[in-house]
Amino acid sequence: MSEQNTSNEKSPSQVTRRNFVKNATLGTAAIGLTPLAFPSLASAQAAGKKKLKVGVVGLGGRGAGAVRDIMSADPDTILWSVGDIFEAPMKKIAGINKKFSGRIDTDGGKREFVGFDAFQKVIDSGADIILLTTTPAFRPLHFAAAVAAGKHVFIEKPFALDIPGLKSVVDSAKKAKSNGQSVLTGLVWRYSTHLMEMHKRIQGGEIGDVLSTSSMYCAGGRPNKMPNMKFKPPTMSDMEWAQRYWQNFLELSGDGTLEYMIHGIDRMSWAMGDQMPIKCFATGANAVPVEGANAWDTFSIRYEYADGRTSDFLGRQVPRTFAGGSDIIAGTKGRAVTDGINVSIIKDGKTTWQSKGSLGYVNEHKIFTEHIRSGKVYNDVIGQFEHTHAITIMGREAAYTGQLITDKQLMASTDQLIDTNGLDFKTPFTARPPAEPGKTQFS
Amino acid sequence: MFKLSSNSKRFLGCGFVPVIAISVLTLSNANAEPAADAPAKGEVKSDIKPPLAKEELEEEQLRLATVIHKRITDYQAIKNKTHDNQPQPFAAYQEKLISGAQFEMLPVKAGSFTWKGNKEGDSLEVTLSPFWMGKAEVTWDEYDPFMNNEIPRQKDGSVVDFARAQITNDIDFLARPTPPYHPMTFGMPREGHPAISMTQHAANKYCQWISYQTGHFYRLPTEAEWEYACRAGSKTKYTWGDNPEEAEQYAWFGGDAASQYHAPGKKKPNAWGFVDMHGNAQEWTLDQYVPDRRAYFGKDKVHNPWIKATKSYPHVTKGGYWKQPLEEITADKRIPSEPEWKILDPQEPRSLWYFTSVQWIGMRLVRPEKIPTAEEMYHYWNSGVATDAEL
Repeated sequence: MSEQNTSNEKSPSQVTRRNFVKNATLGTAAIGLTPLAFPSLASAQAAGKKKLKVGVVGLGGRGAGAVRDIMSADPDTILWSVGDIFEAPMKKIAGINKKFSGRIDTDGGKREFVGFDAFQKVIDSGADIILLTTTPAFRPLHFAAAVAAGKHVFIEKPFALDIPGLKSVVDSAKKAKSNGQSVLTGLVWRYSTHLMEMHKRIQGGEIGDVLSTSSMYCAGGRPNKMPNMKFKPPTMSDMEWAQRYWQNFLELSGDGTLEYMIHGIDRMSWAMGDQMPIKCFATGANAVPVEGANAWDTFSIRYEYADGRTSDFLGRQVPRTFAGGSDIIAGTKGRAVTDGINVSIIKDGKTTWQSKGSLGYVNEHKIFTEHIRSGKVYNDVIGQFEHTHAITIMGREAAYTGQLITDKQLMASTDQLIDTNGLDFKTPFTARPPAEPGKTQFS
Repeated sequence: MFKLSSNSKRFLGCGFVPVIAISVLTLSNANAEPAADAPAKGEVKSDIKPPLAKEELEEEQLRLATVIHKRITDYQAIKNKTHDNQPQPFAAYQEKLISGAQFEMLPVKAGSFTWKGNKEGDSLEVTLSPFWMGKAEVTWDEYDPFMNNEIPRQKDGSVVDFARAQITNDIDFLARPTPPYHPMTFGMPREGHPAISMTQHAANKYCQWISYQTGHFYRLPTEAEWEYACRAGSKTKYTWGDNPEEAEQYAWFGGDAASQYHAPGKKKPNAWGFVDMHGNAQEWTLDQYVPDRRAYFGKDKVHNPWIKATKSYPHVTKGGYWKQPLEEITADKRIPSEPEWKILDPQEPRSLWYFTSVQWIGMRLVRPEKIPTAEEMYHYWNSGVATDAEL
């Protein structure tokens, strides 16, 4: 990753991703990474066999899932504090307690916080690790606060929905790195052992030089599709309604591109060596629109890299249509093919290697907690997932506007989709009108 | 005495006679018709173990079971009246859902068979009361309208609190799946093909949903009912005998060469008319998987046995599926469900509705001839172990 790092910073901990993958696939964790001793309080406290206290901000399905994953990955973790903007998810704590008995300690509920300020209360509760799994729009704000407080942080994808948000996250990630705090991102395909093995083979030259990729990430519908507005009670604020059905709104989810298709774009970027493309052209549509919402459901994106290589990506979230996630990675000596959890390498028309596996939900937390325990610093944002997010925003903007977008234009964008600082249910919310290519301006 | 719902007719796809939607508040007045669920004299008690709980039933679910029970018994009373209370032939019939989707139910007379265990000495003599069973596996045409619904729901399928006041029809209060964001066909055809990858809980709730619409009580088959109907009087490995050469005429199976499920009824039916019992989609039963059934019941003769689940896994599934070799799809083969079937689900709790990693598990319906009580219906449709505690 250091070769493609857009930042000027060169840290001794930056290893090439080729090395990372090689090391990571040796065992459950990237044990071979250069250990760096950091004097920071957070690392020192967290290292060793002690209990790691976990605080979670956002206890929706994925938040509770992330709690389950980290507690499965490391038997010496305890759930220490919980926050959410809604009261209802607090009921889940009993269910978590059933699965991980004796590993929940919220001080009899005193460390269970409800409200828009709950994130700060969780961060200040004395936890070692903070899981940020709220509606994605809040991620840059919450991440900055967690890093400032010296915590190790898991940030669920997407961690930024626009370029100002991305710059904030990258700044926070750099601070975390120099302070010795680990940061893990929820782009789970990267932590899937069979995909790691395939990419290790690709980077080892097994299919020669990678020439181009063609990827798809298609679902049979939108998750948590917004119901008809007639069900919205008159007493419920527009912001509360939007928070309940956030996946449907560009401002809160970043659109299906950032919220969902980012997984496919990330696999593409992995194969292309985690670089920024220099140009992007895209088309897309709101093929089956949700009345009152603005996120699109269909994208076809072409990326061009500085060396002339291209990547094509197709994403869709339309009910009752063909779905799946796959990549064809074409190299000078063969190709690598993925289809869901099945992967193979094909040379001269013959399958020379194949494997299948599962996603990296637990594996990523093993890597994360093992780094924390050994005083090493993990960070997958810098040089890696910062690009994935930028590339995904690039694709969305190219489709929304219908314009060719360059990397320089993209990174100069000042368009902030929503200001989450001080936001609560009383904050007015009006969704932007759905984009219209040819009319919608890039800014 | 009944509170009539103005649009009650459209809930009943049977098109027989207008049927009455009854408010639960009027139940105490509604005993003019003979109770269809009164125990017949001298009837043998069913072997349900553990016995169905009488207490701590969930209030909302019991209310819904009571409403549906009333619809079913009233419908039966009207049919009885229409026929001057003369017994009607126990025959095959065609059922039609609100969506227009149709399916056929075939009668299975009361009878007995030997349930062979895994080893010598644990076989059981089983007697069964009469029931109807679906001629074929439930298809997407029937299941899709249940799965795709527009009411704002929680993940457990119940209506969200803030929308309750705006919902007036009981059918909308029945728990329904959260719409999937995968088409759930995994690249295979949809129309006319078996619905797959639903959890046992989803299958139970589907039965409840169609019971409301049709005025007939539907549920999953017990393991014993399934095997009895599959055997159709045979004592061999397969319903057609032991000869592997005849298998192609009756079943979709076949190891790696077989790439997908098939529309029902392309192969020969068994002696009682059922298609695709062996192979095609693997099918849910109501029962918890218990290795030694005889030891579990503690006797060698059982009547209407049902091993009621006390934990989320394993349940018994039957019949094998299209990809499996012939030895795996025998009439006695039992495949226990397992938590890994939804291992790819990143949410906690994991979905109550989908087993995304088993792209072959489907279902078939049963309707017992005798209408159960409302409490029994409650237990058939609410297993109480729908949430995965094991994962």
